[in-house]
Amino acid sequence: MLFVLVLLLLVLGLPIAVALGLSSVLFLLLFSTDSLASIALKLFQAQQHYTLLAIPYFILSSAFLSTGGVAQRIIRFSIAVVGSFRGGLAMAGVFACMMFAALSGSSPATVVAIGSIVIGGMRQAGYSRDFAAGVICNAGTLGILIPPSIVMVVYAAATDVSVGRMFIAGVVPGIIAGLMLMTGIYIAARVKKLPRQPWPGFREIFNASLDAAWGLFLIVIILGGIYGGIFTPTEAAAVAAVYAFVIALFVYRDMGPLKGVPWLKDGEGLGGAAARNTYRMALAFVPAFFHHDTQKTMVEAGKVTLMLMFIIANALLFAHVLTTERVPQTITEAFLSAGLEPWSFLIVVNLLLLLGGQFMEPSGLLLIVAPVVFPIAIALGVDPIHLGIVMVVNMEIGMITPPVGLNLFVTAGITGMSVMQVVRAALPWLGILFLLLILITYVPALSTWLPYSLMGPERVG
Amino acid sequence: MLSRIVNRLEEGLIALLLGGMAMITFCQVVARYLFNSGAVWALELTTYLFAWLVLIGASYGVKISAHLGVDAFVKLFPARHQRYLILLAALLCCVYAAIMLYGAWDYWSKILRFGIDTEDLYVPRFILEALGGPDYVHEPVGIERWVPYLALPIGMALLLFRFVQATVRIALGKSDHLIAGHEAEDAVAEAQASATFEPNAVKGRD
Repeated sequence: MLFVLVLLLLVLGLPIAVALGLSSVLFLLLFSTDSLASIALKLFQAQQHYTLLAIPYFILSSAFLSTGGVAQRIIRFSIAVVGSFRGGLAMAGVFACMMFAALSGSSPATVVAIGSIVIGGMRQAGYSRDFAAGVICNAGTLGILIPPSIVMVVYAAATDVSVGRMFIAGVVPGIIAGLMLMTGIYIAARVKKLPRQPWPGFREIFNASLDAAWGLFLIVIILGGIYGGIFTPTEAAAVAAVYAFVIALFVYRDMGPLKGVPWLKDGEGLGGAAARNTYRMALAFVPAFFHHDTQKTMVEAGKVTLMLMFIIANALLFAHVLTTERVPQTITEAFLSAGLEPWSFLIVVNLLLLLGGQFMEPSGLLLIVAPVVFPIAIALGVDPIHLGIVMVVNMEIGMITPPVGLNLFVTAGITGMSVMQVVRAALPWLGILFLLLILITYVPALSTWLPYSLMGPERVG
Repeated sequence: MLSRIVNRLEEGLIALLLGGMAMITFCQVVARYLFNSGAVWALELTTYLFAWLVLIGASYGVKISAHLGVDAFVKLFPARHQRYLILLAALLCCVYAAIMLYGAWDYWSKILRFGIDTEDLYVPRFILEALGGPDYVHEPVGIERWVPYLALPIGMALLLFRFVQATVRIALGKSDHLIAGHEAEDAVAEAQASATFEPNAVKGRD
């Protein structure tokens, strides 16, 4: 009944957050003795959740990375590495998406950062618009599978598994997904006789990797920091945000007060350059925080944060209603008495998420589905980390299927195509993601081997 | 003119809260490793800033129609009926905000009456000294919980205001959408305009 109400409100065109919140509130008013005060408090408490605090920081760091020229350097590096294969520019796009995914935790951000540069380049090189948009729209979904990932943070918060293990668990499936997409492109390129880029030589690969190294070092900070126990995932995210800010404004200087100031002028000695750079950076240190570009990036990140967190806060309210009504327990008992096997249970989970993913934003959907599905999975002996990765891959597919597919909207935005055109362009590559989903669902070791051999098994209380 | 000031205020507040949160957490990490210390109030303050960002920001999200929703089904109807459906959706949003405002007020007025302190937040020493003179000897004064929780009634009141505003605009035919559907991707178009494909343009430093 509750679910029907939410669906009805969603179809009517209410914002997702309000649809979730309003149906929970109405339900509680009609069928429960909870006071309105305690309901309002729930909205506030969503922000008191330590794990969820990582979300704004990851959003902030992606914002600085995508506006700050890091994406451009990653793309140059990927073209140098894989560009000389047939269909190389498309493969480079996938490779760049993988690397950007390892820096940022969101799929739409990955599509914007990489797609807005690569799609134009692919069209100049003679690829069709549909091919370019379809590839990037799909590769962008890797943003939530390759760590860090906002969706994984949300899953961890909903089920109390460790964020660190979830992150490490995404590495192998993420790389497999990237390789599968690249293989698909290579085959398509063979058939369609798509162009290749000239071999740039090892010197260019080396130089490009040096240039991109500042940005890519962030991967080491995030994963190394969490795995090495130096900081919590939330702290890692905050450090990443500050690091991204410093890289964008002081190292790459593609935005902010030092924009256009070179590191080394022609004919300048090393000592002179060092002195001049130190002086300029000291002078720009305080203005950098208040510069127009910085503010604009912060507001952009703030918008995404509040939109996402408002959905999450209301989804938590909804999950609260579900638990007070003992819905998860009822469903669990029904499932267990039906004598379901783990593999058939996973099919049900996949269908549920694929269906739900059509209407909901990933984080919100996860928060609703996880409390229901998680206890059943544990009772059936499904690994909690494995379940998490299966859910994340489902969310990826949800992002490129209409009507609510964030990646579709974003791709439509950067290419000037209509959403329906993007849907059609993305469709052939969707098959690869489905293949990935089946693979991940039935080979649990792909998700669990790396985190468990590095950090030991996950225990569920 | 007024709308521009309000806009600056809203955006400035969002940037300040987000930046403040990130800086506090970052400084905590640095303090722990460099000076082997940290401030007890940092975590609690960060979560309160976060709550302010989201609860106060939600109304800004309504203003710029940043909230996500599904408009595919409404779009199936002929334009005349579409308007009524969107109007109904907007009215339901007002109902939501009104209920939440009532609940928020109820909760907030309660904690104001009971006077519960926050866990680790105290009035900074320099403010007490400024108020009581330089040789003011003081007990630490705790900040009461109603201060950070002000975000609830204020945020929900602003949310209600923005939803009512949106409803009126839709009723008058000045606006035809409530949510971020397909048309709200201007920001992306901007990003595209500024980023062009020049793989060689970034070679500057070698």
